[in-house]
Amino acid sequence: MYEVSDIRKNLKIQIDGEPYIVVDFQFVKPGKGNAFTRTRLKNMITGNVLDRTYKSGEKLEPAQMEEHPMQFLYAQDGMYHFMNTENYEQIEMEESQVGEAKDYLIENLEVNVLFFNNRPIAINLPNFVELEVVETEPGFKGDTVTGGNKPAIMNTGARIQVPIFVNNGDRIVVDTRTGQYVERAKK
Amino acid sequence: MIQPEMHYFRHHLGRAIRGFFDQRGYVEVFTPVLVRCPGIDPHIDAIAAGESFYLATSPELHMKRLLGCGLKKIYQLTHAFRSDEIGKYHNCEFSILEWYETGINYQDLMELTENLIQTVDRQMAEYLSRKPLFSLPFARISVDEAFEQHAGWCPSREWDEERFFLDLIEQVEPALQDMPAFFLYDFPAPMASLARLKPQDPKLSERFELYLKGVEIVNGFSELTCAREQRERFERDRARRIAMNKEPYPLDQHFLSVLEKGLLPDCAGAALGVDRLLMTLTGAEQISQVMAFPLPQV
Repeated sequence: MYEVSDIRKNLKIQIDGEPYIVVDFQFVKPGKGNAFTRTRLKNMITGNVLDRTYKSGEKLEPAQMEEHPMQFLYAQDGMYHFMNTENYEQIEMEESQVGEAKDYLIENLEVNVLFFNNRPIAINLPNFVELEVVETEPGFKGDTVTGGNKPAIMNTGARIQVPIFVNNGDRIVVDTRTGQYVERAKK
Repeated sequence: MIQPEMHYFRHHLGRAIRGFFDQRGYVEVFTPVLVRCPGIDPHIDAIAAGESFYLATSPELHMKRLLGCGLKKIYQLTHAFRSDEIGKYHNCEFSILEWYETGINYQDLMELTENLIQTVDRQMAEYLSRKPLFSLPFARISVDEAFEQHAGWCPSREWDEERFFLDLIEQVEPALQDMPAFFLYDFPAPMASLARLKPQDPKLSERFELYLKGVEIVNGFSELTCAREQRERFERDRARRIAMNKEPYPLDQHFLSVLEKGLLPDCAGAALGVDRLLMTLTGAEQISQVMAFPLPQV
Protein backbone atom coordinates (compact mmCIF):
# COMPACT_ATOMS: atom_id res chain seq x y z
CA MET A 1 0.00 0.00 0.00
CA TYR A 2 1.12 3.55 -0.64
CA GLU A 3 1.12 6.25 2.06
CA VAL A 4 -0.20 9.72 1.32
CA SER A 5 3.41 10.94 1.46
CA ASP A 6 4.21 8.62 -1.49
CA ILE A 7 1.91 10.57 -3.81
CA ARG A 8 3.84 11.83 -6.82
CA LYS A 9 3.01 12.70 -10.40
CA ASN A 10 2.54 9.54 -12.51
CA LEU A 11 1.97 7.31 -9.47
CA LYS A 12 -0.45 4.56 -10.51
CA ILE A 13 -3.14 3.59 -8.02
CA GLN A 14 -6.31 1.53 -8.00
CA ILE A 15 -9.74 2.79 -6.90
CA ASP A 16 -12.83 0.53 -7.05
CA GLY A 17 -11.00 -1.85 -9.39
CA GLU A 18 -10.04 0.88 -11.86
CA PRO A 19 -6.49 2.08 -12.54
CA TYR A 20 -5.74 5.78 -12.04
CA ILE A 21 -2.63 7.83 -12.65
CA VAL A 22 -1.80 10.92 -10.57
CA VAL A 23 -1.64 13.87 -12.97
CA ASP A 24 -1.33 16.58 -10.33
CA PHE A 25 -1.17 16.87 -6.56
CA GLN A 26 -0.92 19.57 -3.91
CA PHE A 27 0.00 19.55 -0.23
CA VAL A 28 -2.68 21.42 1.75
CA LYS A 29 -2.53 22.21 5.44
CA PRO A 30 -4.94 24.62 7.06
CA GLY A 31 -3.52 26.49 10.07
CA LYS A 32 -3.78 24.38 13.25
CA GLY A 33 -5.23 21.55 11.17
CA ASN A 34 -4.12 18.21 9.80
CA ALA A 35 -2.42 17.85 6.44
CA PHE A 36 -4.19 16.83 3.25
CA THR A 37 -3.01 15.97 -0.23
CA ARG A 38 -5.34 17.09 -2.96
CA THR A 39 -4.96 15.00 -6.12
CA ARG A 40 -6.15 15.07 -9.70
CA LEU A 41 -6.40 11.51 -10.99
CA LYS A 42 -6.94 10.24 -14.50
CA ASN A 43 -8.67 6.96 -15.14
CA MET A 44 -6.21 5.05 -17.31
CA ILE A 45 -8.99 3.24 -19.19
CA THR A 46 -11.70 5.86 -19.72
CA GLY A 47 -9.54 8.98 -19.44
CA ASN A 48 -12.05 10.48 -17.00
CA VAL A 49 -10.56 12.90 -14.51
CA LEU A 50 -11.33 12.66 -10.82
CA ASP A 51 -10.39 15.05 -7.99
CA ARG A 52 -9.78 13.38 -4.67
CA THR A 53 -8.46 14.67 -1.35
CA TYR A 54 -6.50 12.34 0.93
CA LYS A 55 -5.80 13.10 4.55
CA SER A 56 -2.49 12.10 6.09
CA GLY A 57 -2.58 8.53 7.36
CA GLU A 58 -4.84 7.24 4.58
CA LYS A 59 -3.60 4.38 2.41
CA LEU A 60 -3.69 4.10 -1.37
CA GLU A 61 -3.83 0.83 -3.24
CA PRO A 62 -1.15 0.45 -5.92
CA ALA A 63 -2.43 -0.47 -9.39
CA GLN A 64 -0.99 -3.81 -10.44
CA MET A 65 0.50 -3.09 -13.84
CA GLU A 66 2.51 -5.22 -16.19
CA GLU A 67 4.27 -4.22 -19.35
CA HIS A 68 4.94 -6.57 -22.25
CA PRO A 69 6.94 -6.00 -25.44
CA MET A 70 4.65 -6.31 -28.44
CA GLN A 71 4.86 -5.97 -32.19
CA PHE A 72 2.06 -4.19 -34.02
CA LEU A 73 0.65 -6.45 -36.72
CA TYR A 74 -2.33 -4.76 -38.39
CA ALA A 75 -5.57 -2.87 -37.80
CA GLN A 76 -8.91 -4.10 -39.06
CA ASP A 77 -12.47 -2.95 -38.38
CA GLY A 78 -11.36 -0.65 -35.57
CA MET A 79 -9.39 -3.41 -33.80
CA TYR A 80 -5.61 -3.23 -33.42
CA HIS A 81 -3.73 -6.53 -33.40
CA PHE A 82 -0.41 -7.09 -31.62
CA MET A 83 1.88 -10.02 -31.01
CA ASN A 84 3.76 -10.60 -27.76
CA THR A 85 7.40 -10.91 -28.85
CA GLU A 86 8.23 -13.09 -25.83
CA ASN A 87 5.58 -15.82 -26.18
CA TYR A 88 4.12 -15.01 -29.64
CA GLU A 89 0.59 -14.73 -28.23
CA GLN A 90 -1.65 -12.34 -30.11
CA ILE A 91 -3.87 -9.72 -28.54
CA GLU A 92 -6.24 -7.09 -29.85
CA MET A 93 -7.09 -3.64 -28.59
CA GLU A 94 -9.96 -1.30 -29.38
CA GLU A 95 -9.27 2.01 -31.06
CA SER A 96 -10.32 3.91 -27.91
CA GLN A 97 -7.66 2.06 -25.87
CA VAL A 98 -4.99 2.69 -28.49
CA GLY A 99 -5.77 6.42 -28.36
CA GLU A 100 -3.31 8.83 -29.96
CA ALA A 101 -0.77 6.04 -30.43
CA LYS A 102 -2.64 5.05 -33.60
CA ASP A 103 -0.97 7.97 -35.39
CA TYR A 104 2.35 6.15 -35.09
CA LEU A 105 1.41 2.49 -35.44
CA ILE A 106 3.15 1.22 -38.56
CA GLU A 107 3.42 -2.47 -39.31
CA ASN A 108 6.02 -4.36 -37.26
CA LEU A 109 6.57 -1.40 -34.88
CA GLU A 110 7.85 -2.63 -31.52
CA VAL A 111 5.98 -1.11 -28.59
CA ASN A 112 5.31 -1.85 -24.94
CA VAL A 113 1.72 -2.60 -23.98
CA LEU A 114 0.57 -1.84 -20.44
CA PHE A 115 -1.73 -4.40 -18.82
CA PHE A 116 -4.01 -3.87 -15.82
CA ASN A 117 -5.54 -7.07 -14.42
CA ASN A 118 -4.49 -8.86 -17.63
CA ARG A 119 -6.30 -6.27 -19.71
CA PRO A 120 -4.32 -4.19 -22.23
CA ILE A 121 -5.01 -0.53 -21.45
CA ALA A 122 -2.28 1.61 -22.96
CA ILE A 123 0.62 1.63 -25.41
CA ASN A 124 4.06 3.02 -24.68
CA LEU A 125 5.61 4.02 -27.97
CA PRO A 126 9.30 4.39 -28.78
CA ASN A 127 10.25 8.09 -28.61
CA PHE A 128 10.97 8.25 -32.35
CA VAL A 129 9.26 6.52 -35.25
CA GLU A 130 9.83 6.65 -38.99
CA LEU A 131 6.77 7.53 -41.09
CA GLU A 132 6.24 8.01 -44.80
CA VAL A 133 4.73 11.17 -46.29
CA VAL A 134 1.81 10.25 -48.53
CA GLU A 135 0.35 13.67 -49.20
CA THR A 136 1.81 17.16 -49.08
CA GLU A 137 1.94 20.13 -51.44
CA PRO A 138 5.19 20.36 -53.35
CA GLY A 139 7.68 22.78 -51.86
CA PHE A 140 8.58 26.08 -53.44
CA LYS A 141 12.08 25.88 -54.77
CA GLY A 142 14.49 28.46 -53.44
CA ASP A 143 12.05 29.72 -50.80
CA THR A 144 14.25 29.13 -47.78
CA VAL A 145 13.80 32.61 -46.29
CA THR A 146 10.49 31.94 -44.57
CA GLY A 147 11.70 28.73 -42.94
CA GLY A 148 8.01 27.90 -42.75
CA ASN A 149 6.24 24.59 -42.34
CA LYS A 150 3.38 22.97 -44.22
CA PRO A 151 0.92 20.23 -43.32
CA ALA A 152 1.57 16.67 -44.46
CA ILE A 153 -0.36 13.43 -44.16
CA MET A 154 1.56 10.29 -43.17
CA ASN A 155 1.04 6.66 -44.12
CA THR A 156 -0.68 6.18 -40.72
CA GLY A 157 -3.11 9.03 -41.36
CA ALA A 158 -1.29 11.31 -38.91
CA ARG A 159 -1.10 15.02 -39.81
CA ILE A 160 2.36 16.44 -39.12
CA GLN A 161 3.84 19.89 -39.82
CA VAL A 162 6.91 19.41 -41.99
CA PRO A 163 9.48 21.77 -43.51
CA ILE A 164 8.71 22.90 -47.06
CA PHE A 165 11.51 20.81 -48.60
CA VAL A 166 9.79 17.54 -47.64
CA ASN A 167 8.06 15.77 -50.55
CA ASN A 168 5.63 12.94 -51.12
CA GLY A 169 7.29 9.57 -50.60
CA ASP A 170 9.91 10.95 -48.17
CA ARG A 171 10.47 9.06 -44.95
CA ILE A 172 10.70 11.31 -41.87
CA VAL A 173 11.44 10.84 -38.18
CA VAL A 174 8.71 12.04 -35.79
CA ASP A 175 8.92 12.50 -32.01
CA THR A 176 5.93 10.59 -30.61
CA ARG A 177 5.96 12.60 -27.36
CA THR A 178 5.38 15.93 -29.10
CA GLY A 179 4.05 14.88 -32.50
CA GLN A 180 6.73 17.01 -34.12
CA TYR A 181 8.94 16.49 -37.16
CA VAL A 182 12.58 15.76 -36.22
CA GLU A 183 14.48 15.10 -39.45
CA ARG A 184 14.43 13.29 -42.77
CA ALA A 185 15.12 9.59 -42.25
CA LYS A 186 18.58 8.42 -43.22
CA LYS A 187 18.50 6.31 -46.34
CA MET B 1 17.49 30.17 -9.12
CA ILE B 2 14.85 32.80 -8.42
CA GLN B 3 14.88 36.10 -10.25
CA PRO B 4 17.41 38.48 -8.67
CA GLU B 5 14.77 41.20 -8.17
CA MET B 6 13.05 38.95 -5.64
CA HIS B 7 15.85 39.60 -3.15
CA TYR B 8 15.14 43.31 -3.45
CA PHE B 9 11.39 42.76 -3.04
CA ARG B 10 11.99 40.76 0.15
CA HIS B 11 14.42 43.35 1.49
CA HIS B 12 11.87 46.07 0.82
CA LEU B 13 9.05 44.10 2.45
CA GLY B 14 11.19 43.61 5.58
CA ARG B 15 11.86 47.35 5.76
CA ALA B 16 8.17 48.15 5.33
CA ILE B 17 7.24 45.73 8.14
CA ARG B 18 9.91 47.07 10.50
CA GLY B 19 8.94 50.66 9.68
CA PHE B 20 5.30 49.94 10.53
CA PHE B 21 6.10 48.54 13.97
CA ASP B 22 8.88 51.04 14.76
CA GLN B 23 6.42 53.88 14.14
CA ARG B 24 4.00 52.40 16.65
CA GLY B 25 6.53 52.10 19.46
CA TYR B 26 7.14 48.36 19.12
CA VAL B 27 10.52 46.89 19.98
CA GLU B 28 12.07 44.21 17.81
CA VAL B 29 13.03 41.19 19.94
CA PHE B 30 15.14 38.10 19.33
CA THR B 31 14.14 34.74 20.78
CA PRO B 32 15.89 31.39 20.33
CA VAL B 33 15.48 29.19 17.28
CA LEU B 34 16.95 26.26 19.22
CA VAL B 35 14.36 25.34 21.86
CA ARG B 36 13.49 22.58 24.35
CA CYS B 37 9.70 22.84 24.04
CA PRO B 38 8.60 23.34 20.42
CA GLY B 39 4.88 23.67 21.22
CA ILE B 40 2.42 20.84 21.55
CA ASP B 41 -0.08 21.36 18.72
CA PRO B 42 -1.17 17.87 17.58
CA HIS B 43 -0.81 18.83 13.92
CA ILE B 44 2.54 20.62 14.05
CA ASP B 45 5.65 18.46 14.15
CA ALA B 46 9.03 19.86 15.10
CA ILE B 47 12.42 19.04 13.61
CA ALA B 48 14.68 17.57 16.28
CA ALA B 49 18.11 19.11 16.76
CA GLY B 50 20.20 16.69 18.78
CA GLU B 51 19.03 14.83 21.87
CA SER B 52 17.05 17.39 23.83
CA PHE B 53 16.50 20.30 21.47
CA TYR B 54 14.26 21.17 18.57
CA LEU B 55 14.09 23.91 15.97
CA ALA B 56 11.34 26.36 16.95
CA THR B 57 7.98 25.84 15.19
CA SER B 58 7.11 29.44 16.16
CA PRO B 59 8.51 32.05 18.60
CA GLU B 60 5.15 32.31 20.40
CA LEU B 61 5.92 30.99 23.89
CA HIS B 62 9.21 32.84 24.25
CA MET B 63 7.64 36.09 23.07
CA LYS B 64 4.84 35.76 25.61
CA ARG B 65 7.47 35.15 28.29
CA LEU B 66 8.92 38.53 27.32
CA LEU B 67 5.51 40.15 27.88
CA GLY B 68 5.68 38.55 31.32
CA CYS B 69 8.95 40.45 31.90
CA GLY B 70 7.17 43.76 31.35
CA LEU B 71 7.61 44.42 27.62
CA LYS B 72 4.42 45.90 26.15
CA LYS B 73 4.73 45.91 22.36
CA ILE B 74 7.08 43.47 20.68
CA TYR B 75 7.64 42.07 17.21
CA GLN B 76 10.04 39.65 15.62
CA LEU B 77 10.99 38.59 12.10
CA THR B 78 12.56 35.17 12.36
CA HIS B 79 12.60 31.66 10.95
CA ALA B 80 10.36 28.79 12.01
CA PHE B 81 10.66 25.10 11.16
CA ARG B 82 7.99 22.45 10.67
CA SER B 83 8.67 18.88 9.74
CA ASP B 84 7.25 17.39 6.52
CA GLU B 85 5.58 20.57 5.34
CA ILE B 86 6.43 21.12 1.73
CA GLY B 87 4.19 22.24 -1.12
CA LYS B 88 2.93 25.19 -3.10
CA TYR B 89 2.49 27.27 0.09
CA HIS B 90 4.75 25.33 2.46
CA ASN B 91 8.47 24.99 3.05
CA CYS B 92 9.85 23.25 6.17
CA GLU B 93 11.84 26.38 7.00
CA PHE B 94 9.98 29.65 6.52
CA SER B 95 10.01 33.31 7.53
CA ILE B 96 7.57 34.26 10.24
CA LEU B 97 6.55 37.63 11.63
CA GLU B 98 5.04 37.62 15.10
CA TRP B 99 3.87 40.57 17.14
CA TYR B 100 2.19 41.04 20.52
CA GLU B 101 0.66 44.03 22.26
CA THR B 102 -0.64 44.27 25.81
CA GLY B 103 -4.00 45.85 26.59
CA ILE B 104 -5.64 45.01 23.25
CA ASN B 105 -7.95 42.19 22.15
CA TYR B 106 -8.40 40.28 18.88
CA GLN B 107 -10.80 42.90 17.46
CA ASP B 108 -8.16 45.62 17.93
CA LEU B 109 -5.61 43.22 16.50
CA MET B 110 -7.66 42.67 13.33
CA GLU B 111 -7.64 46.44 12.81
CA LEU B 112 -3.89 46.61 13.41
CA THR B 113 -3.39 43.68 11.02
CA GLU B 114 -5.30 45.28 8.17
CA ASN B 115 -3.38 48.51 8.72
CA LEU B 116 -0.12 46.57 8.54
CA ILE B 117 -1.17 44.90 5.28
CA GLN B 118 -2.33 48.22 3.83
CA THR B 119 0.96 49.90 4.74
CA VAL B 120 3.21 47.23 3.26
CA ASP B 121 0.92 46.83 0.24
CA ARG B 122 1.15 50.57 -0.50
CA GLN B 123 4.91 50.65 -0.11
CA MET B 124 5.40 47.58 -2.29
CA ALA B 125 2.99 49.03 -4.87
CA GLU B 126 5.04 52.19 -5.01
CA TYR B 127 8.26 50.23 -5.25
CA LEU B 128 6.86 48.02 -8.02
CA SER B 129 5.16 50.98 -9.80
CA ARG B 130 1.71 49.47 -9.70
CA LYS B 131 -1.59 50.04 -7.88
CA PRO B 132 -2.10 48.70 -4.34
CA LEU B 133 -3.87 45.32 -4.26
CA PHE B 134 -6.02 45.84 -1.17
CA SER B 135 -8.32 48.48 0.27
CA LEU B 136 -9.73 48.87 3.77
CA PRO B 137 -11.69 47.69 5.56
CA PHE B 138 -11.22 43.96 4.96
CA ALA B 139 -14.35 41.81 5.10
CA ARG B 140 -15.04 39.97 8.35
CA ILE B 141 -16.88 36.64 8.34
CA SER B 142 -17.36 34.48 11.40
CA VAL B 143 -16.46 30.80 11.10
CA ASP B 144 -20.04 29.74 11.91
CA GLU B 145 -21.43 32.11 9.25
CA ALA B 146 -19.00 30.87 6.62
CA PHE B 147 -19.73 27.20 7.33
CA GLU B 148 -23.52 27.66 7.53
CA GLN B 149 -23.46 29.45 4.20
CA HIS B 150 -20.99 27.28 2.29
CA ALA B 151 -20.90 23.89 4.02
CA GLY B 152 -24.41 23.72 5.50
CA TRP B 153 -23.56 23.17 9.16
CA CYS B 154 -22.54 25.06 12.27
CA PRO B 155 -19.18 23.99 13.72
CA SER B 156 -19.62 25.58 17.14
CA ARG B 157 -22.95 23.78 17.63
CA GLU B 158 -22.00 20.29 16.38
CA TRP B 159 -18.21 19.93 16.49
CA ASP B 160 -16.52 17.42 14.15
CA GLU B 161 -12.82 18.10 13.63
CA GLU B 162 -12.29 15.89 10.60
CA ARG B 163 -15.33 17.31 8.83
CA PHE B 164 -14.27 20.82 9.81
CA PHE B 165 -10.91 20.77 8.05
CA LEU B 166 -12.14 18.83 5.04
CA ASP B 167 -15.05 21.25 4.51
CA LEU B 168 -12.76 24.20 5.19
CA ILE B 169 -10.47 23.30 2.29
CA GLU B 170 -13.11 21.78 -0.02
CA GLN B 171 -16.12 24.08 0.50
CA VAL B 172 -15.44 27.22 2.50
CA GLU B 173 -12.06 28.39 1.19
CA PRO B 174 -12.99 27.81 -2.48
CA ALA B 175 -16.28 29.71 -2.01
CA LEU B 176 -14.45 32.71 -0.55
CA GLN B 177 -11.33 32.65 -2.69
CA ASP B 178 -12.41 35.49 -4.98
CA MET B 179 -12.56 38.00 -2.13
CA PRO B 180 -9.26 39.93 -2.15
CA ALA B 181 -8.99 40.00 1.64
CA PHE B 182 -11.12 38.73 4.50
CA PHE B 183 -10.90 37.78 8.15
CA LEU B 184 -12.37 34.48 9.29
CA TYR B 185 -12.96 34.93 13.03
CA ASP B 186 -14.50 33.39 16.15
CA PHE B 187 -13.17 29.86 15.76
CA PRO B 188 -15.01 27.11 17.67
CA ALA B 189 -13.57 26.45 21.13
CA PRO B 190 -11.87 23.15 20.17
CA MET B 191 -9.88 25.17 17.58
CA ALA B 192 -8.94 27.88 20.11
CA SER B 193 -5.24 26.92 20.08
CA LEU B 194 -3.81 29.34 22.67
CA ALA B 195 -6.65 31.86 22.33
CA ARG B 196 -8.96 33.05 25.08
CA LEU B 197 -12.57 31.82 24.88
CA LYS B 198 -15.24 34.48 24.50
CA PRO B 199 -16.41 35.34 28.03
CA GLN B 200 -20.03 35.78 26.86
CA ASP B 201 -20.00 32.66 24.62
CA PRO B 202 -17.40 30.04 25.59
CA LYS B 203 -18.30 27.84 22.59
CA LEU B 204 -16.23 30.33 20.58
CA SER B 205 -12.68 31.56 20.87
CA GLU B 206 -11.27 35.03 20.20
CA ARG B 207 -9.18 33.89 17.27
CA PHE B 208 -8.99 34.97 13.62
CA GLU B 209 -7.23 34.18 10.41
CA LEU B 210 -6.61 36.61 7.57
CA TYR B 211 -6.83 35.38 3.98
CA LEU B 212 -5.30 37.38 1.14
CA LYS B 213 -6.12 36.29 -2.43
CA GLY B 214 -7.58 33.08 -1.03
CA VAL B 215 -4.45 32.14 0.93
CA GLU B 216 -4.22 32.03 4.71
CA ILE B 217 -1.59 34.58 5.75
CA VAL B 218 -2.14 35.58 9.40
CA ASN B 219 -3.35 33.79 12.51
CA GLY B 220 -4.06 35.89 15.59
CA PHE B 221 -5.89 35.92 18.87
CA SER B 222 -6.58 37.37 22.28
CA GLU B 223 -4.08 35.39 24.32
CA LEU B 224 -5.16 32.90 26.94
CA THR B 225 -3.70 34.13 30.26
CA CYS B 226 -5.33 31.65 32.67
CA ALA B 227 -2.66 29.21 33.88
CA ARG B 228 -5.05 26.42 34.83
CA GLU B 229 -6.85 26.41 31.49
CA GLN B 230 -3.56 26.69 29.59
CA ARG B 231 -2.15 23.65 31.42
CA GLU B 232 -5.32 21.66 30.71
CA ARG B 233 -5.10 22.47 27.00
CA PHE B 234 -1.41 21.49 26.88
CA GLU B 235 -2.20 18.20 28.64
CA ARG B 236 -5.08 17.50 26.28
CA ASP B 237 -2.94 18.18 23.20
CA ARG B 238 -0.13 16.08 24.63
CA ALA B 239 -2.56 13.18 25.14
CA ARG B 240 -3.72 13.57 21.55
CA ARG B 241 -0.14 13.45 20.29
CA ILE B 242 0.40 10.22 22.22
CA ALA B 243 -2.85 8.78 20.82
CA MET B 244 -1.65 9.74 17.30
CA ASN B 245 1.65 7.94 17.90
CA LYS B 246 3.50 11.24 17.73
CA GLU B 247 6.29 12.42 19.96
CA PRO B 248 4.82 14.04 23.11
CA TYR B 249 7.01 17.11 23.46
CA PRO B 250 7.72 18.41 26.98
CA LEU B 251 5.46 21.17 28.32
CA ASP B 252 7.10 24.57 28.61
CA GLN B 253 7.19 24.95 32.40
CA HIS B 254 8.87 28.37 32.18
CA PHE B 255 5.95 29.67 30.17
CA LEU B 256 3.38 28.04 32.46
CA SER B 257 5.10 29.53 35.50
CA VAL B 258 4.78 33.05 33.97
CA LEU B 259 1.03 32.40 33.73
CA GLU B 260 0.83 30.88 37.21
CA LYS B 261 2.46 33.95 38.71
CA GLY B 262 -0.12 36.11 36.94
CA LEU B 263 2.61 37.92 35.03
CA LEU B 264 1.07 37.68 31.54
CA PRO B 265 -1.23 40.69 31.13
CA ASP B 266 -4.25 40.80 28.81
CA CYS B 267 -2.79 40.94 25.33
CA ALA B 268 -3.24 39.86 21.74
CA GLY B 269 -0.76 38.62 19.19
CA ALA B 270 -0.48 37.31 15.65
CA ALA B 271 1.78 35.31 13.37
CA LEU B 272 2.18 36.12 9.69
CA GLY B 273 3.73 33.99 6.95
CA VAL B 274 6.21 36.39 5.37
CA ASP B 275 6.96 34.21 2.33
CA ARG B 276 3.26 33.88 1.54
CA LEU B 277 2.78 37.63 1.92
CA LEU B 278 5.66 38.17 -0.49
CA MET B 279 4.03 35.71 -2.91
CA THR B 280 0.77 37.66 -2.73
CA LEU B 281 2.43 41.02 -3.27
CA THR B 282 4.57 39.87 -6.19
CA GLY B 283 2.10 37.48 -7.80
CA ALA B 284 4.38 34.46 -7.33
CA GLU B 285 2.62 31.11 -7.75
CA GLN B 286 4.87 28.95 -5.61
CA ILE B 287 6.60 29.61 -2.31
CA SER B 288 9.83 28.39 -3.95
CA GLN B 289 9.67 31.41 -6.27
CA VAL B 290 10.19 33.83 -3.38
CA MET B 291 12.88 31.95 -1.42
CA ALA B 292 16.58 32.20 -2.19
CA PHE B 293 17.05 28.51 -1.41
CA PRO B 294 13.84 26.47 -1.10
CA LEU B 295 14.29 23.07 0.48
CA PRO B 296 15.12 21.06 -2.66
CA GLN B 297 17.99 23.49 -3.39
CA VAL B 298 19.43 23.76 0.12
